[in-house]
Amino acid sequence: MENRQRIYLVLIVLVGLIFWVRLFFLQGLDDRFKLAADTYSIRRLVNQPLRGNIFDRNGKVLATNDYAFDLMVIPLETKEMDTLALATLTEVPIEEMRNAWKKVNKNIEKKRRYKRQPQPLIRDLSQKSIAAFQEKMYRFPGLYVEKRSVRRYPEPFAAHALGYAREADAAVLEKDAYYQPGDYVGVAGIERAYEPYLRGVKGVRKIYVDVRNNEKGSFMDGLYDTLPVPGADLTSTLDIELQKYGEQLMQGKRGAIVAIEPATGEILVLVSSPSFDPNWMVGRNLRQHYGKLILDPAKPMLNRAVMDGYPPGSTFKVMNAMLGLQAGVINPATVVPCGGGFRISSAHTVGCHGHPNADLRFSITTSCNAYYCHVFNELTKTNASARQAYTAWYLGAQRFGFGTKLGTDIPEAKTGLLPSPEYYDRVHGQGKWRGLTIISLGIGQGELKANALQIANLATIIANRGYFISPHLGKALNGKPLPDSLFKRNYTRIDTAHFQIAWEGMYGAVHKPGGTAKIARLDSIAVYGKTGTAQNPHGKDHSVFMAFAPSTSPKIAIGVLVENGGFGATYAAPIASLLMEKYLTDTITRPELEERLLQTRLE
Amino acid sequence: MSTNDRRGGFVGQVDWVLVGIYLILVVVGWMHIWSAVPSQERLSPFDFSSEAGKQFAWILICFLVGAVLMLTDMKLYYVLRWPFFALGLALLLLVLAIGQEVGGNKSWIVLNSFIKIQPSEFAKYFTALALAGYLSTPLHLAPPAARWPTFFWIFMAPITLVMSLADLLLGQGLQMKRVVYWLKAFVIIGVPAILVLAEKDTGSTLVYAAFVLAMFRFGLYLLLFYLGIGLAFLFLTSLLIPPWILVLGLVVLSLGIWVFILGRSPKAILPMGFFLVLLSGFTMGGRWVFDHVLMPHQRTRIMVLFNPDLDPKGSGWNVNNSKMAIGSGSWFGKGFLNGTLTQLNFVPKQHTDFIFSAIGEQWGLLGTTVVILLFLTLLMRLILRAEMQRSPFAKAFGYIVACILFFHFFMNVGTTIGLAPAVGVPLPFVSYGGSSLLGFTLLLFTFIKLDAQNLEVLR
Repeated sequence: MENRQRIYLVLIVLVGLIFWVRLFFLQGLDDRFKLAADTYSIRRLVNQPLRGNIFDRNGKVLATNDYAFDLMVIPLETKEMDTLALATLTEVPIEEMRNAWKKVNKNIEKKRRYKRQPQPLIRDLSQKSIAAFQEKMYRFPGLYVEKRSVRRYPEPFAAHALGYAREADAAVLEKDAYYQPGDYVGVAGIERAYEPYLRGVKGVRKIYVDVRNNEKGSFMDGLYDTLPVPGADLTSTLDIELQKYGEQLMQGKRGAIVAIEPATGEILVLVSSPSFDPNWMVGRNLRQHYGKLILDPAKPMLNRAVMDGYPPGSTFKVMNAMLGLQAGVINPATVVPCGGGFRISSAHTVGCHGHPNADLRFSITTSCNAYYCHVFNELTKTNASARQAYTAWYLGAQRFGFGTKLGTDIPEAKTGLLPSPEYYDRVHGQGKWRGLTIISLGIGQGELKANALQIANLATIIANRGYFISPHLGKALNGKPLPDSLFKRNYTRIDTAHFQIAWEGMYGAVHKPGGTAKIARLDSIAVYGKTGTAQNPHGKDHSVFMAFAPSTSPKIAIGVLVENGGFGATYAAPIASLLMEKYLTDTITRPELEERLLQTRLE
Repeated sequence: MSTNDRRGGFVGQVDWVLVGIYLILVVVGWMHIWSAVPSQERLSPFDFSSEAGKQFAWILICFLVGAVLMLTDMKLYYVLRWPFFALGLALLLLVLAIGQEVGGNKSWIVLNSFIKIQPSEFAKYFTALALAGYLSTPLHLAPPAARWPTFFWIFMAPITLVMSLADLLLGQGLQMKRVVYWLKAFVIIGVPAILVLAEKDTGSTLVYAAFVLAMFRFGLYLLLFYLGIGLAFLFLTSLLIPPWILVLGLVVLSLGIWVFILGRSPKAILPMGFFLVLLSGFTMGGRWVFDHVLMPHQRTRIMVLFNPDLDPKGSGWNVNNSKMAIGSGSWFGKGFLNGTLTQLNFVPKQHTDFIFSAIGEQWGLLGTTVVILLFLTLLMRLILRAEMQRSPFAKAFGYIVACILFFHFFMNVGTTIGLAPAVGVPLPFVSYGGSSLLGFTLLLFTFIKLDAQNLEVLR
């Protein structure tokens, strides 16, 4: 029986040995646990930097940060509470309050959130509601107020140019790992284009958390923590006063205005009408406003200044004149008999409005259709094949910015449509089309599509006598000018001298008898303009106008497009004229014209 | 070292090795109970509103109790063993009547918000005294078998049958007296065990198996020991491979034993056949019980032994986090008070059942090795000293104490490193808890007292 003692000793030693071997593997040899333990108990907290402000060219604040107050709830800590009293106190409709609670409970039911995890109940409460709530907070255990930075736009203008920043949605989160839920991200306009500068650098804080995610002190006493770096302040090229005036003039009309400083390519004005208050895109009523904007048949969210657009109409003729001169198919003295139109065939004639036979200068002034059909016809039959000739013209027109995005920094910019040779091969069949088939390109109609930015840019090219700098909205970051290399100088490869005739013709259109844009005339300043009418198969034609002024080193080039505005001279020209007068002289000498335009409603 | 080296006088008679290990373990436990809270929430280790402070108070009480035990006479325990046993049963009945539920077990008597006691911890002590007293009368001196009521025989039939067959198999012939002797011992253990089970305290119930372990030293059929290990092995393997393959293996094994070891003895056919049927039945039945009777959470608790990733957020969670805490301690630990998982509540019950993981995280393999060595020394010392006792009562008591401590050590540390199912038993002297500390102190110091008076016993 005594030897049974040994069983106990063996058992004890055996168990001790097994445990020790197990511990040797667990603690000594296996590294997995060391890493896992850290990821388990250390959380990375992100400190959001303040988003950079946006200023206009004169230093006015266009976008800045404000504080919003969210009513947060920790469901575990709540007790039975008076929802109605809470709704009354915070001035939230009772229905909304009930839905908010439903959502909170659903989040827990669906295991999207834990019961001890804070989640927002109502977002963006007013300061007043918050004050009222905080007084009675003791009655609502589990609720508290969290302060959060939100975007504010002090001037309710330039919505399309500024764009907006809002919380990153699922699509953004999936695409870019930088963004975490709750981060702000610029989704349009300047906010989007300069997002990497505006957003700043997130600060990181590492903390220990316990199993319930409660903070339990900082990791390594904050050795690896970083402070957030605020986003850079962006100075934009916009002139908010002029922008505001442009938006007022466009009220009740659909269309777009773009004004560019020719020497720099800086966009002074970018109006797309109808517009909206950019503040609608942030804050509590976003959903409501957003729904309204999306459903509006006038499509206020569409940036009409850079959309695909409409035929540029007669403004296009100036470019064709330049291409004709450069190719040598015409010279300033070339006279084309008008005779009421250009005969394509016995059955088809491009009509004109009956005026004396024109030379090149006068053809611009009077916008002669026959002249430009002739020019285009000549241009497209000089070479062996129509296709080759057209290709040369096509590349020339592209250098004027048509069918391109101009290298602009506006993220929404579209190319418009400049039909490529391949396009016509597709439509008409290879070798089955020639210059006469597509003669309407000569007068800026047909398949062509251009937007206000491209038309303003055409005016810029003429003002600059042959080149343009990619039009842009960004001017300086933290007061430091953006590098010139960002916006390159684009040459049309037209001799500078040729532009003299364009200047003279456009001067005539505004200031000479027979001119189509006499309404744009300013008494003290030389204005160079060209009207256009974009044919619209769906309704009244669109009114188009481009212009620049003054004569010595032009300060402003402008493109205006008013949908269903009829002739260019009717609406587009006077709007451009008033804007130029305001910008160049800071006065309005024609209050009755201004009044008429402000009153006009085309919708 | 032998007992005879010890010189006279009270101090010289006390086994200071046991006392020393006890003191070290108690202080280590107290330190780590204090460490296992987030640093901001850590009060002074003497602050009674914290767990460390309460443990400190209990430690002082236990020192007092230990000292008082030293002043008593060993005869007292033998004389009072039945009253004590009755007191233990009364406490267990009381807890069934007025006990309150804490953490799923209805095993607490709540005196006030500060003091809760868990009678099952003391019942172990009283049962140990009673069983040691019973075992101190060896089989050959035991009174003749008394008459037992019929329902008792029916109730005890399986174990009786096994023991009877063991007699037959060993070729000793059926000795009814021996069978009855052990049956009585099983009754002494079984009554408190059933009461504890009624409190739904699985861990404390399983501890009563430790008493059976001690009984082997005093002549309980070793066959039961092997049978127990065999059954446990069969049960666990039946979860991994189909039971019918196991049964096939058993048949082949039995035939092998019968042919090559028992020399085809015809006398062995009946008992061999019986054990074969028993084991096969257990294998098939065990799997059936596992699949159909056990609750899903009990099933996963067992299955995570094989695959800790089986249920990482559920029942594997505790064990997984405990293993992670211990593993992250590496060779030398993160340093005292620098643990992360055990101080941030990632390891549940980190001051009671999972105190070992707090030590492992903060002191690494170095610390866990020291703790294991301390327990090995304590347990082997207890066995060695128990064996030297002249009084059969003290000897039996010593073995029982060693087996209870061994069982707790095995289940507790085994759980924290994923080698034993999580049944929830404290680590003796180390885990937080006044009742368990007092219970273990009573067990250990009673034995130290009995041992100190060893030389007074006439051979």
